[in-house]
Amino acid sequence: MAIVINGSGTVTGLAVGGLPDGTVDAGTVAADVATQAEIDAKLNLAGGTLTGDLLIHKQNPAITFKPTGANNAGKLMFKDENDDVKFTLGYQDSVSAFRLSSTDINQADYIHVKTDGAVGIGTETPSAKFEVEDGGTTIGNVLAKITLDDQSSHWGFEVANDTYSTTDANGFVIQPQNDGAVGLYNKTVLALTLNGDRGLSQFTAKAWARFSSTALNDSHNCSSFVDNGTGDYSINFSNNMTNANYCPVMSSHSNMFIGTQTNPAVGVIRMGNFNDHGNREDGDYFGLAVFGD
Amino acid sequence: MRLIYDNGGVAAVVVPAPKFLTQLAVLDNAGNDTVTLEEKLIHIANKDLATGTKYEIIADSVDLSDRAFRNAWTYTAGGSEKTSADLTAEELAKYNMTENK
Repeated sequence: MAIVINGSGTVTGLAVGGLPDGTVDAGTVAADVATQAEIDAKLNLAGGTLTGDLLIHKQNPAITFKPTGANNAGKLMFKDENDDVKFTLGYQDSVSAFRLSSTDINQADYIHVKTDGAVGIGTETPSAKFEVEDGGTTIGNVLAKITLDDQSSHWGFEVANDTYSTTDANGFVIQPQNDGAVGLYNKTVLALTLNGDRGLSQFTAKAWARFSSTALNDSHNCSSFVDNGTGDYSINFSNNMTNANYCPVMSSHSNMFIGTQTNPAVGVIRMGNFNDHGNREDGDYFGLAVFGD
Repeated sequence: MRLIYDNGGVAAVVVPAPKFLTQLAVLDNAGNDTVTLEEKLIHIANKDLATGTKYEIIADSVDLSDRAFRNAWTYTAGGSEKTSADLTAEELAKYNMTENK
């Protein structure tokens, strides 16, 4: 027998006293065009508004967005209460990118994940695995750029004010060196090297000290000050110099002069302070700066 | 605290660098330094004095301000005299040192 579901949702054609014998023939229901239209209307397969939460409960739940034609986009849109789109998350087939956009998936303004895995923030054409641009309102009008890029087989951190390349740089690059140091580049020129021993390169003082005859007021890379006697002082370095060919620069009290007392050693420098009569004398203000490796 | 030792017949006074003392700190989970100041000075003695040097640790309260006869100061061993020891190979590497002093 056939079962007819009418528009009011009631079932007719049933025998009084219970369900008919046998099972409902699904094929019979599906074949009924009028009934199918009723089901579609209830389930809203072609659109509409869901007013409850959506839950997919199975072992490997999935939602698939499959456009019907080329260069289409599948997306999730997030609106405010005024129906204005604030964020759009989806795949834009025309540019082969997964995007987090503002008003529409066609907007190339937020985050882009290309099909090769490159991620761009503020750019839809990241030139490395990760690239950030601040293009203001127009992508391509680049104001600043931060790129993790491969420079001479070392991964570095690059800050550029324009499109950067190793041969035409307008920016600033921080790059590890072969010996474990860190190089700071201005354009393509190595401007400063920070060595691994916490001392700096030959461009800056590897050690310095401000001391008096009895105290070490402040210092860098110094472990101790030694008062050997009147006008006779030593400074021990925290980290030894690599060699003794360094350049010590000293300053003394007024009307006095200070100099190296013995040949500088890699771990210590001994200084003598003399007055204008050539006699050793103590003082309150001495300075030492050491340049070298 | 400071160190004193005999340096060629004249007493030398070693003043530790405050930043280096901070560098020698080992903090526990509560952020408290577990290394005493004396232990730090012993480490500085081992690092900055030649191995086997006799020395003593003196308190900051010891008045060394009168330097009129500074070059006549001599080191006299007391009851708390210590002897500087070698640094470990790991410590030598840490300080970019190839050998003990």
